[in-house]
Amino acid sequence: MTTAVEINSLSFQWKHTDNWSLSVNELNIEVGNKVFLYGPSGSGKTTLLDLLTGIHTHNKGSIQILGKELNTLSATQRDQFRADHIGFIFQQFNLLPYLNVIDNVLLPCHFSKIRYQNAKQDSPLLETARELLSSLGIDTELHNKTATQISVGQQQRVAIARSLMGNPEIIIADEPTSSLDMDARNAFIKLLLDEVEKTNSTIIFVSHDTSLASFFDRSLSINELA
Amino acid sequence: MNMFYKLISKSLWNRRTSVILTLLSIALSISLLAGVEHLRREAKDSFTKTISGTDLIIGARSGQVNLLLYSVFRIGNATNNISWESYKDIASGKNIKWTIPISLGDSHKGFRVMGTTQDYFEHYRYGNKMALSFKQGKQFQHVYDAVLGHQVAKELGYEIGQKIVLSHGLGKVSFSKHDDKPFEIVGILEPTGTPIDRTIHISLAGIEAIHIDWQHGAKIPGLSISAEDALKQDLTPKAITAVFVGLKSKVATFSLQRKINNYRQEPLIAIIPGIALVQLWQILSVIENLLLVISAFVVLTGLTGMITTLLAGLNERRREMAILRSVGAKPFYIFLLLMTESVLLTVIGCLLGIAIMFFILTILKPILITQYGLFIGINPINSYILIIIALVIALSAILGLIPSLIAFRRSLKDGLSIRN
Repeated sequence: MTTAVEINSLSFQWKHTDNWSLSVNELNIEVGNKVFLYGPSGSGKTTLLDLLTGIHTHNKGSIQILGKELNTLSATQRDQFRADHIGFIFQQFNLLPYLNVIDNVLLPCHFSKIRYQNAKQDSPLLETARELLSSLGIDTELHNKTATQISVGQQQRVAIARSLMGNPEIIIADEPTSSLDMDARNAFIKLLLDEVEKTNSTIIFVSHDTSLASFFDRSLSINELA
Repeated sequence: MNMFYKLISKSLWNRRTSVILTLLSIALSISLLAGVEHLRREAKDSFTKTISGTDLIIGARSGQVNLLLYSVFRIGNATNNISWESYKDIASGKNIKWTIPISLGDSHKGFRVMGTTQDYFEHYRYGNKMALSFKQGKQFQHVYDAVLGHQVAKELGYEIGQKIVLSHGLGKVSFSKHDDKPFEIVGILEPTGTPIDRTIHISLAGIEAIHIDWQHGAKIPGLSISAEDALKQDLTPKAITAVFVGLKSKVATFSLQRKINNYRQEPLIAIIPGIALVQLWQILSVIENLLLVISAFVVLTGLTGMITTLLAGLNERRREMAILRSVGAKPFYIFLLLMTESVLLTVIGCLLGIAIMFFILTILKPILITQYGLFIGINPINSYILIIIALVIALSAILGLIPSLIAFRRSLKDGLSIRN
């Protein structure tokens, strides 16, 4: 099994400050792992996600994503790497408000050739997007509605579809259930994990709600990584 | 549709209220700038085409511009006259093809009266060598016949056959009238867009006849010669105001001009209309340039307004930028989105502005012709306007750097975190 994420003696410090804002001694996530990452506010969660997605670069140590050392890539290459290999789900308001549901789902294929090719391998691009949405319970009549015309729960499921479009190896979800109520939350996580399983992607699910940990293979806490 | 343009168009549509207002302010400022520029060129064009085909204008010695103003534009007064003998002498020169003597000094309800010969209708040209043509009636034949310019007939509501009384001097309200010798309207000219439209034409003999019992600008007391009696007298003019001259060969223009400027018998001046017109226009160009500068500033205001709107919108669009970054957009992509937005808005604004101007000119054209005798071409598209638009678009790209660079830096710093 290859490694999806491998971190060794990582330190990150904001420019012009003296205190280290994040350090991770060791973290290994295998491909196909479903990982729950406990990150209460102030734990450096945002910083860690910025580093994993290549928005910022670390000062010391190493981060390898899918065997690639992020520090060796330029900013542009890191942006492309993220487009090609990582699907991201935000807490809420995931969708561009002026695009319809389908166009929001197609968005990653515009930025990544790899995901574009993957998505249209078995069926036409639009068809893939529609199937993905349907399997997430977004009916066809909603596909041409804009983000503001559908419910928050539906928006989050569209966000899953977008993150999975073109089968990126890694899905990162940043508190995607915080805007949902208890029942919707459990259904959402099951749906997310089912879809991730189908493509054998790796998922890193970040939350401050420890009660969700039971859905995952592995559970980690950011505070304990240092 | 390409996703890039979809993002721009859908995003703009999403903000349509502010976008439409921005477009409108750019469009209006462009239509003002292009309109001023267009009218300026058209006015210059029609101005310099007030007279054509005339090689020299000769008058009593004064300034170039002064002679041009009173002989062609009916503005101001001649300081002196040319004697009939001098005129005859010049007109018989070997290079002379035709001459049109004119005599000014009388008026009718504020419109100037010009005494001339029938050669005027034959040889006088304006615009692109266009001859005068009659809307109604014909040239004057008799001493008491008058031919009206288009505007005179229109404003005063005159028709063929009507009798009019001329006044001595140029005031709109005159107390010394030639009421003993009324003139009959025998012809009305087509509009020309030149001062001819505001002129009443009579024969030189007519001018002579109404002044036969006058001296030094007043009636000679006790002497009254009736209209019929005047006809029996010799009505050859003693003096005229100016002469339009056409030459057989243009090459002779300068030598004849020199000859006339050095005329022994009488102090005269000869001007070349084209050169004098350009000189006169240069005096007016200060105002024209001022107008252009003002409208350029209005365009700058329009563009600044657009940038302000885009900048104000950036804060609300931070989430949009974070989402785009999360799916892999590079900061440069965000930069391009913003740049394209400002240039696209300006391009659409410019097109809209030209359309507005086109529309206004179409409405205005008949009014300008009938009310002011101004001929304005409707088509505002020329290379000059295109250069202006290209400059405005280039300027919008430069100004667009401000919001684009801010968005670029912000998306670099914010990354995937959404700050509201």
